[in-house]
Amino acid sequence: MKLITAVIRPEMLQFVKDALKEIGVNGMTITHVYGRGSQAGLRFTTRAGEIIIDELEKTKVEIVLEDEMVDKAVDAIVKSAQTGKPGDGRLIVTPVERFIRIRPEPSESTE
Amino acid sequence: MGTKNYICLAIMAAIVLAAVTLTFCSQSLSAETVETTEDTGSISWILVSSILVFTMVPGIAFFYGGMLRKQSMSSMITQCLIAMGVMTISWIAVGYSLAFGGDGAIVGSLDYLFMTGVTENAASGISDMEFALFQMMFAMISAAIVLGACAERIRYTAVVWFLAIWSVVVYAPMAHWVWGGGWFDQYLVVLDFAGGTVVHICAGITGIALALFLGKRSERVRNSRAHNIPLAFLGCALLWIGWLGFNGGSGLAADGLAVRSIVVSMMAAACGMMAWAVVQYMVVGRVGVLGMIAGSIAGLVGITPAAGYVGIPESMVIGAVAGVLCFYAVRMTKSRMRFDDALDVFAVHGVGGIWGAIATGIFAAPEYTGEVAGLIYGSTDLFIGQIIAVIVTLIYCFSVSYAIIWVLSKLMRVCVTPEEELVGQDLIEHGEHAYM
Repeated sequence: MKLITAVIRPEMLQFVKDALKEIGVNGMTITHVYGRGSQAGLRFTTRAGEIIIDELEKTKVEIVLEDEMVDKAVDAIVKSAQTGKPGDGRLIVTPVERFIRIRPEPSESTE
Repeated sequence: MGTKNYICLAIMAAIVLAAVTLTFCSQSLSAETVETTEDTGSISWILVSSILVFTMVPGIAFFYGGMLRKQSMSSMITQCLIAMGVMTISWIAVGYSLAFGGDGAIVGSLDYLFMTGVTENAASGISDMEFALFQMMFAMISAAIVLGACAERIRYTAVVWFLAIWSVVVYAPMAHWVWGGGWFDQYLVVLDFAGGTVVHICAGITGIALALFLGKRSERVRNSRAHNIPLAFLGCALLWIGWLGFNGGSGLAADGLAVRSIVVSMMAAACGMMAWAVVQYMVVGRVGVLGMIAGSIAGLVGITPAAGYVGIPESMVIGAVAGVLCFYAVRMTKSRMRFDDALDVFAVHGVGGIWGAIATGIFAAPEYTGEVAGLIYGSTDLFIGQIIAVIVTLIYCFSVSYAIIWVLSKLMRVCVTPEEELVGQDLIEHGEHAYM
């Protein structure tokens, strides 16, 4: 089992959700976060000089998946979240030690 | 950069010099005292009404700010503040004179620059200076209404210059045509009690001109929701309260007309809100704060031009139809149109104002207007006059506003970049988060 943590552009969230739904992934945790990438934020020039905004809005999506689904999901996220400009975000895949549902598994596998 | 600073300084110095010169010139005129029995009731009521209308401007800041993203709240407040500053100075300096300074077809005159010769004492009723004060608040609120359409992308400097020019070449002539004895009065039969044409249609279509020129906001900003419903409601409450002075003071006296204007305004606002709620419930399946406040504003906009000229039953029809029309206008402009009217300024103020002007042409009662009568009393003059006035207002305000922003775009950057837009103008332009 793997945990995918994707930090994406907030405006791309809907596309990512749609793309994941297409490959059958529905469960996810979405958090609105602030961060910056290798450009260390954005620079703007004003009349009085330069200002640097170093905390940009991003959206974090966390998904736990069976190993065989991971590549498909990674593909779907990368394709749907990409604009090609700096600030598209990052994707991290980490192993999951244990994964426990809080509600007991239904006796018949009807999920 | 340096030369720009000098130009700004030079302009400010020129304004101060002009004010000082005119003060000295006018001393001989204002020294004459008028011995009269003053109508203190009317004087008090119009002063109170002026203050009520003034509260609408901070009200607009809350109303619009609450409906934007949290990154645009300070920006909206700052823009409303500059509207107060620019419009006050511009109105006292030239606006009043252009609007009410004479009987020219297009504009008044330059006789009353800086209130030269405008007296604060009146033989009867209210004085010219009090009238100018009351009208100044209307100029301010009109400017503030425009800001909702171009929110979240127009640069602050552009707003300042735009409003300064707009107040002289768009607002003042409009006020002159409708109220100051301009060509609407000379050649047409037009009624506009409290500013449906001058304030609402004019502001609405100016908003469209700006929104069209500046283009759409980025998708993420456009799809974001109102960040603070309580603030939007506070703004609506201030607007509603202020509107009672807006309509109630427009008779320029403390009399039965003022009472009736306020009663019909309340009735129209209530009907507008209820009608919006009913339609929204039928179409969307639920009703909320944003819908209800938009409905009440729609009702108030609708009744504005008619407030002094109709009775209670007509006001209910005007309010209810305004609520329904504006509801569909908002849905249509949000889904079909190519422009991005951020806070539905045209759908509510423009469409509501157009309906109000036409409704005045339909329902104006001869017992209240004097001789002019609406369509239901068998007279077509007023109805035709109202429609021509609406069309002329739409064309004039749109084309001139578009021209102003086009010219400004050649001189400066008028629009923020998409990156700046995403970070939000609060931080980029003002360096102040609205919230910690």
